[in-house]
Amino acid sequence: MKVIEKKLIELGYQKIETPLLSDFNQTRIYLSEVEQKNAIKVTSPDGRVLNLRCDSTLAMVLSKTNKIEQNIYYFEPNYNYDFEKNQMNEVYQIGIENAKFGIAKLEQNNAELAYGLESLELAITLLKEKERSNLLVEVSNEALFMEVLDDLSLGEEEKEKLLYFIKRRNAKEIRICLEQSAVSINVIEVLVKLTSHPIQLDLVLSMIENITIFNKLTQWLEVISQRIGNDLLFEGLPDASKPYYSGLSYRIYDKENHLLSVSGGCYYFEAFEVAGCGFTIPMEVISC
Amino acid sequence: MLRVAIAKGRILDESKSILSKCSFDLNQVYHSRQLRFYNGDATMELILLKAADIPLYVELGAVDVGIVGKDTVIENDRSVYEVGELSYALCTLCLAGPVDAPALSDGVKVATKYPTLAKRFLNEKKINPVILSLSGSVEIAPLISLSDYIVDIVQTGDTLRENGLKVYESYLKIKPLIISNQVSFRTKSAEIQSFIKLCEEK
Repeated sequence: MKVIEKKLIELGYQKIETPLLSDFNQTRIYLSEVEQKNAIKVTSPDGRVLNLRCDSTLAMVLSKTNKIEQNIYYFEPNYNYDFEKNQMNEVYQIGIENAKFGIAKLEQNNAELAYGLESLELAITLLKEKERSNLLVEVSNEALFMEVLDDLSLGEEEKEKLLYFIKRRNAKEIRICLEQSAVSINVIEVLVKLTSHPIQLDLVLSMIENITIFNKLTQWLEVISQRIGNDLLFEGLPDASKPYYSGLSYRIYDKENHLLSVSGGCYYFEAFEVAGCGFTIPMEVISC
Repeated sequence: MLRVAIAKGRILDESKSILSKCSFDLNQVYHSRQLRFYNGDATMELILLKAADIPLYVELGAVDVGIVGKDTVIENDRSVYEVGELSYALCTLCLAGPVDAPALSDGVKVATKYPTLAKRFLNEKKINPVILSLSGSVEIAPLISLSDYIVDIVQTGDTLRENGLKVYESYLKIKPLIISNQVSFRTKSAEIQSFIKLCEEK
């Protein structure tokens, strides 16, 4: 922890503390119905309903401090809802947020991506400070990839089924679902590959170039390739879907210790008009 | 080193050729009470587990990949990847009941050890059942009016016949799946891909 904190202070990051308990009536506007129902709540002596710090609490803090456009970090537990397992999890982590850009910059996709890649590079630097060098970097753009899937003209039920099997990387079932779409066999082959296994960036680019439905994705990946290089993986849809990620999301795996060491991306909390990009490093990575 | 878990019982019995191709000592695996083995060149470790526990071991990364029935994977609903499927069928998931069972309609009572699969099956038929989740001997449920039907896995059909039940509909062939831990799927990608290839060649 000291190594990472020292580096962050050196880079001008400021430590913040977010409240352990938020006023539920203020918090609920950025929570889904399921999250609202499952948030861990207590009632204060004066009758206010309070909920334990959730992973979106930072948005509230940023919304109040946004004007200062400060790069920040925090080191405290969050309580977030796991949709797949239908339970609340406590996650102890260090969070590092680059909130230097505002909404106007977010609207320009390339600017957002540039900031996102800057935060990805910082994550790699911090892991190297912790002497982790055997790293596997994976990038995704869920919103852009969903646009590709929307273009397949699948019915609601078929699409839901497809997403279920993509989450499980079940290539056989993914193929069966895609065969019900109106796209050509070539496009199906590409989509099966992209959704069933993370693939090296240069290979992805060679597979999707000149295929119309992938045009936007191709342009986006080319920007990444020019900035970071091709030694990273592309994942169509990431495992843990975070609806607030607005573009780039990334994960860094430590190949030597078989750990997911960093998870992050660019986000936008509509309710608070807060944009930023950042990542978290779980406690087990910091402590080992 | 790749750590692989295989479900004890029929799947382990059917996995002899896979284990042989991976250079495990079959005599040791099949005739000892040990639960942990290493192959000849120490590139793989085999763990023998109860089927229902395998998805949890895989999800938490205690093992990299597991071979377990599709029914167990679906019922456990763990965050694992279904990266391969073996060719042989273990059994079939069926809807069964007494010969004079009532017509299927909303509210029909169905006893089963597989509540998730049973619900999914009947929902696909646009029927909203009352699922009675049991832990065993489900065949008795319709005979003493606990349920109208059962959803159960059927191998030969002998148990159903002996209890005066008949199969109304077959739903799903239960095959063994190869499931992978999400992190290992990336960090041990090459080893996992060659293991899948080897398993599916069987």
